[in-house]
Amino acid sequence: MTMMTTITLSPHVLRFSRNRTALLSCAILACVAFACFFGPVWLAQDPSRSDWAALSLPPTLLGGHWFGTDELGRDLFVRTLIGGRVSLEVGLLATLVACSIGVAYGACAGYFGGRIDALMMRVVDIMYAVPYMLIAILMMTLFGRAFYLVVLTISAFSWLDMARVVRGQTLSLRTREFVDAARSIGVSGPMIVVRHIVPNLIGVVVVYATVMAPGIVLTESVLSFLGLGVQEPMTSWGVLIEDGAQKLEAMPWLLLCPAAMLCATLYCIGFVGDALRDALDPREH
Amino acid sequence: MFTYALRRMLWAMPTMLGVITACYLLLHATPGGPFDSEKQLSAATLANLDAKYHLSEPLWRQYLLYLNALIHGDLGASYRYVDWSVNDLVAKALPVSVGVGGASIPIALILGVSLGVAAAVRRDRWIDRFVMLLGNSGNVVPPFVLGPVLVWIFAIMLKTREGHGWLPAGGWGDGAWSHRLLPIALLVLINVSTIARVMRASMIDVLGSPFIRTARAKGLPPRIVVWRHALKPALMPVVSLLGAISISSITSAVVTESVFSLPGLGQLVVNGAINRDYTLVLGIVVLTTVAAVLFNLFVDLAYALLDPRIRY
Amino acid sequence: MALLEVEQLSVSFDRRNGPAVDAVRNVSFALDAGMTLGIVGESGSGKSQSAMALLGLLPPNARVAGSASYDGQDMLRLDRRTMNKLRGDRIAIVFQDPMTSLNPFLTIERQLTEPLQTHRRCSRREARRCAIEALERVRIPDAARRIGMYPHEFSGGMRQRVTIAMALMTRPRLLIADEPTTALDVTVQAQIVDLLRELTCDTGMAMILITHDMGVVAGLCDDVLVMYQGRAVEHADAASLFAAPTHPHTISLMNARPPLKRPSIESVPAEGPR
Repeated sequence: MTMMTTITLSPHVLRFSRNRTALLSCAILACVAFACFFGPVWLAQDPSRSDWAALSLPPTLLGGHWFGTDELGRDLFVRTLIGGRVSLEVGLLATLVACSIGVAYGACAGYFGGRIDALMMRVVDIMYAVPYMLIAILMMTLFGRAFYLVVLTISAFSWLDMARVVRGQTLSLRTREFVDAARSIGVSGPMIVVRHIVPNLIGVVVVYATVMAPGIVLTESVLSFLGLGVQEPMTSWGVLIEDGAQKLEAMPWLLLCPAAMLCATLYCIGFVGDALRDALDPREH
Repeated sequence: MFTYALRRMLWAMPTMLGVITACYLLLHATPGGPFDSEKQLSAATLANLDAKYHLSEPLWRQYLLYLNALIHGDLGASYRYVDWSVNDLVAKALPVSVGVGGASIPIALILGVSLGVAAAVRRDRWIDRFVMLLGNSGNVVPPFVLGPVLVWIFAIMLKTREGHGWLPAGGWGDGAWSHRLLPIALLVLINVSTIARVMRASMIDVLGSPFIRTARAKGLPPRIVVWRHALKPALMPVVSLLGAISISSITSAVVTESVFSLPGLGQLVVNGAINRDYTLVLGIVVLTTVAAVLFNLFVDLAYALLDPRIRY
Repeated sequence: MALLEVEQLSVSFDRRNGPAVDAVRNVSFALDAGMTLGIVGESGSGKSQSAMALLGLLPPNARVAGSASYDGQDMLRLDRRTMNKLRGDRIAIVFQDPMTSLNPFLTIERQLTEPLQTHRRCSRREARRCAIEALERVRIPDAARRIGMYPHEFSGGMRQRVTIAMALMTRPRLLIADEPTTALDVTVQAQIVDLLRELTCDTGMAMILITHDMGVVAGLCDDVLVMYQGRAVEHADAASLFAAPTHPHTISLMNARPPLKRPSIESVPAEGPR
C-alpha cells in the first residue's frame, strides 16, 4: 500500500512548520485541549462546589479564581474547562463520524459513477436544502439528549461537504493508471476503493476535516445555547455562554470568559486548517 | 431559458416531497404518541384526541391525510395549543421573523457588495485590511456571543440621560424600530463578513481578466470599468452564495430570536420542540424547507439570467 | 517629425522574493505617421511588454524607464487622467485572444459604443449608427441585427473583427496590434491580415504589429524590429530584412516556418541568465 500512495508527507510537513501562526495555533489548541481534559483533575476542584467567601467575583489572578465566580460561588475557570471537555469531545467525535460517513459516501459515489453517482448526489442536494438546525432541534426533542445522540445528530448533517469533495477527488483519481493496474490483476471494486483510492484522499480529507471542525463545534454550542444540547449535569461552552448572557448586566465575565475560550479555539482550528491547505496545495509554491 | 427554468422547478418538487416525507416519518417513528407523557387522561378525552388527530389510523393513511391538508395550505392543528391551528400560530410569528430577517438580507447584500468592491479596488489600503479582518472574524465570533455583546454595549453600557439603555435589550414591542435595530444589526453582521469576503476575492479575480484590460485600454474612466464591466461577472459567486446563506439564516434567525426574545418562527419552533408539539414543529420545518427550496430555485434562475452565456 | 519616438525603453518587474526581472532593455525605435512597424520575437522576448508600457497597461509591480514621445508628450510620464484620454482615442490596441478580450456580460453594441460615448460625447443613437458602420467595414454580415448579440455568439474570427472594429471607432492615429492572429485558425489569419492592410491603407493609420510570425510581418510591415531577450537585436525595413538578415535570431525566426526542403534544426546560443 505504501508503494501505491502518491503523497509523500515530508515536504508538506516542512512547509506547514514554516508557518509560524499555524504553529502557534497548534500550540494554543494543544494547551486548551490539555487544560480541558486534565486540568480539572489536576486542580482537583469540584465545579459545583460553592466558595461562599467569593460570590460573584470578577476574574482575579491572585485569589485563585482566574475566571471569577458566579452568584453561587462556583469557580468559572473549572466550569469552563469541564465545559470545554464536553464541547471538544462532541466536536472531535462528531467530526470523526461525519468524516467517515462523508468519505465512504463520496468515495462510493465517485467510484461507481454514472447513475448511482447521480442518484447519490441528488440525495446530497436534497439534504443541502434542508434547514438542518430545525431538524437537529427536532431530533434532539424526539430522541433525547444523551451524549452519543448529540454526536449523531450533529454528524448527520455535517458530512455533506466532505462527501462532495471526496466524490470529486475520487472521480479524478479513478481514471489514473494505478486503478487500471489493480483492476487488471483482478482486484474487486470495493477493494479498489478501500485500498487504493482512500489512501490518496488523505490529504484532502485532513484539510476538509479542519474546515468542518469549527462548524461542528459551533453547532454543538448553538444547540446548547438553545437549551437543546447535552443534558444536565453535563455542561458545555454553549450552556455557560447562555447562562452568562442571562446575567450579563451584573457579571459580564460569565459570558466573556467561556466565549473567549470558544472563539480562540475556533480561530486556532481555522488557522491550522488554512495552513494545512496551503502546505498541501501544490500550486502555491 | 424557459426549459431551464421548467427543469429546475420540476426537480424542486421531489426535493420538497422528500424532505416532508422524511420529517413526517421521523416524527412518527419515535415510540409513543404525543400525549403519552401527559397526566392520565380520561378515556373519553383520549378518544376525542384520537379522532381529532387521526391517531388510530394506519400510518400511510395519516401521511396521505397530512399531504392532502398540506396541498390545501393547512398545516394541521397544534398538539399543545389545542384551540389554535398551526397556521394561526405561524401567521402570528411570521411577521416578526420576516420583519427582522427580511430586512437584514438586502442590507447585508448591499453593504457586503460595496465593501467587497471597495476592498478589491483599493488593495492593501485600510479598507482592504478591514474587510479581510471582518471576513476572517465572521466565522469565529458566533452569533450567540455577538448578540449578547451587542445587548451589553447598546442596552446596558450606553445609557440615556434617563438611565435606560440606548436600545431595548429585547422583546418585540409591536415592531417598533428601536426593538428591531439590534436584531437586524446582528443578522447583518453575520452575513456581511462572508459576502464582503467573497465579493472581494471575486472582484480581484475579475479585475485581472483580459476583458478588463481591454476596457482600461479603451480609456474608460475607472468607475465605469468597475461598475459596468467588472461588477456583473464578479457578482456571480455572491449570487450562488445566497443559496447557502438562506439556509444558514434559518439557524441565525433561531439564535437571534432567542437572544432578543422575539416571538418569531424560531422561538416558536424551539418552544414547540421543548413542549413536544409535533405538528407545530413539523409544520414550521415544512414551511421553511419549502421556502428554502424556492429561494434556491430563484437564485439558480437569477444566476442564469445574469450570465448571458447560460441560456440553453 | 515622427509620430512616436521611443528612446531607451526599459521595463523590469519587481518580485517579492528574488531580484527584479528585466523584461525589456533599452529598446529604441521611431514610427512615422501611416507607417507599419513590426516587432517580432519569440515568446518572452519582451515585445508585448514594450507595447503595454507605452499605454500604461503594465501590472503595479512594473518599473518603466526611458522615454516615449508621442505628439510632444512623454507617454511614460503622463498622469492617469491624460493617459485615459489618450487611450482608446488617439491610440488603440487590439489584443491577442478574442475569446477573452471581450466582456462576455455586455452586448457588442455596448462595447462598441463606449469609446465614442467616452471620448467623443456622442449620443446613444449616433454611436450605434457608427458602430453598425464599423461592423460593416470589418465585413461582419448582417451588422444591424448582430450588434445586439453577446460575444459568445460569434466565432473566433468574427470576434477578432469586432475587436478591431472596436479599436477603430474613434479613428485613432496609431493602432497597436498585439499578436492579433496568433489565436486564430490559419485561414482566418489570412483574412485578418488582409483586413488590417486594407484598414491601414484606407485610414492612413500607423500601426505597431507585434507577432512571432514572420509570414504576417512580410504581408503587412514597412519596418521590422527584432527583439531577443528584451533587447532590440535588429532594426531594418522589411525589404532589407528579408533579403539579408544579419542577426542569427532573425535568421532562426525566419526558419521557424516549416521549410519544404531543409530538415535541420539550428539553435542560437543564449546570452546570459534569464
